[in-house]
Amino acid sequence: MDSKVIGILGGGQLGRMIVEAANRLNIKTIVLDAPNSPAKQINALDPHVNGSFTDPKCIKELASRCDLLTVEIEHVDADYLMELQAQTNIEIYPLPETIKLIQDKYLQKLHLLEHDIQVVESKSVESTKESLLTIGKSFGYPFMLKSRTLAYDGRGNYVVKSEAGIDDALKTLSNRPLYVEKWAPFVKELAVMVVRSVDGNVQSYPVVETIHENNICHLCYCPARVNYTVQEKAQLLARNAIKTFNGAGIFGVEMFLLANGELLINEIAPRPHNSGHYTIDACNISQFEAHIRSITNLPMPKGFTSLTTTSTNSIMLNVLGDYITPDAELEKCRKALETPHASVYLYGKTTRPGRKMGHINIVSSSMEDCQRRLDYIMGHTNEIPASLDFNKDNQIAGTSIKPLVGVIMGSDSDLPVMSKGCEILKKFNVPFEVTIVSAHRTPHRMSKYAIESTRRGLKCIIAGAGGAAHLPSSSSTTTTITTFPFSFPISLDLISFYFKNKTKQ
Amino acid sequence: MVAAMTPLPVIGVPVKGSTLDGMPRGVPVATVAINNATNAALLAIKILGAHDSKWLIEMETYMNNMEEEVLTKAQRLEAIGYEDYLKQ
Repeated sequence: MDSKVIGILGGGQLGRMIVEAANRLNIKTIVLDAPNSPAKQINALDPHVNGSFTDPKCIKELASRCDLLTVEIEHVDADYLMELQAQTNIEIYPLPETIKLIQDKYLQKLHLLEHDIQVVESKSVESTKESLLTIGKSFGYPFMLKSRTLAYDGRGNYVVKSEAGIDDALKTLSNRPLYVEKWAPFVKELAVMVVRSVDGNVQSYPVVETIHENNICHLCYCPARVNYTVQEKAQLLARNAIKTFNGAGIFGVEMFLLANGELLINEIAPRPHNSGHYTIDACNISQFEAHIRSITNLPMPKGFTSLTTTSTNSIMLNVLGDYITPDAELEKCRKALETPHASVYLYGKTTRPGRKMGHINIVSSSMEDCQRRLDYIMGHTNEIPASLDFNKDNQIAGTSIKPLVGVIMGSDSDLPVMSKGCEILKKFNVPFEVTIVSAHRTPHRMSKYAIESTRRGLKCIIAGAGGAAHLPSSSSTTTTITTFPFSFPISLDLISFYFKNKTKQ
Repeated sequence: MVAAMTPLPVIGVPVKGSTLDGMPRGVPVATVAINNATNAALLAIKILGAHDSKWLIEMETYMNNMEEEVLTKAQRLEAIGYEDYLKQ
């Protein structure tokens, strides 16, 4: 494979999982962090560098032994990395200037705004009561007071609920540059991993839904439980955002989904991300391998970020240090080991309340099944869900797991007519499925259905054509192929408006 | 639009009240008579038979049975006359 040696600034769990991915490709890694950090524990092939990723001396030593530097944490000495790159010509991905830009969350937001990427409304602010009172008047309460730098896992954030909370907020976040964010009344938090090649091509992983508890990621559902239009829009937004940062690497893009369907970027991380751990089991290529491939210029074929199968569903559970009894969190891991379709990843850390000790990935063919398994692992039920028997097809007609024929219709009002065909398929024992796919109301679902049909093993599709007869074919198909909203944001209303007008012609 | 996005054969069932003018050249959709999903399903099975003979045999049996059914009906009709046949 590639003979490059990669130096990693930071040796936490993200570094550990980068090392794992690199090992499988015969790529050498050297880690800079404190002795015995998680990433170092699993790589005894090379002598590591002991010290801090913010110390120029240590970074220099690491660089002297590597062909390429990368980071698993953005809080590194970015200025020194820039200097080092200029002096030695060593490759550094993500680019030091990108790291520096993202390090300062306020500059990060200004940068995105300049490129017309929707972000949460933000303002820089002085650390005084007067300036926060002024902000309170214009943004209203609550608003978020955030540290511009060195913040992670919710540390460095403070929700200012009213004027009375301002003093406490300033005390909690004293001695650091601050900025404020307008409160985003979100209904869900979504995240997308995006990988960018050296020459600027971006590819996105599926959209996930993250559930936070005490500001720390608790659960991650993939795919996110939102409709296809929102999923497409979220991926597009994430890709467009990452296009604006030069250099290669993987990026985590966190966003808010508002009640009106609007998406706002919350934060970007220039490294593998907690919301991408599911990719280890749910995708063929994990976020960690994608990162390695992107920074070493290895092939990244189109679609290499997709889920392993079209019916893959996944839930990731973070294993956090128990708040009462040390190591009590390991009980969840033991239960996960008892559960088919679940896998455990521990990071080799000493337990502390709320510390990220590991994670558990659950992968199955339906989200309901993933949830059942999660319920057992969390201790909500004592019944271990059995492994799925893929050989036994579903007994209910029209719900085959491996259908040969798909019967689709734009509306359930067509069902009485279409059911006559279903009866024939049932009589012949043909494995088939019946579902509603509307060209007008669910355009993304329809395209997904059509595009994935061959991969799912379908051999023929029967489409009911009520109303405008757009489902099986359409007078606008030829233009639709080129203008279908894969590559630019066009609202659902616009699409149906377009079709309605086409129909009238 | 499904037909525009998949290489698989697509059979359209026009449900009563729909317009059929929206079928552009280059994106073929096999169609059956209005509301005739039964024929759509039979056509689908015939298509399956083109790559797996299991469905060919099933279809042959079905067609044979269909012939038998008609012959039985004809025999009865000839024997009891059309007036009694209608009454049953």
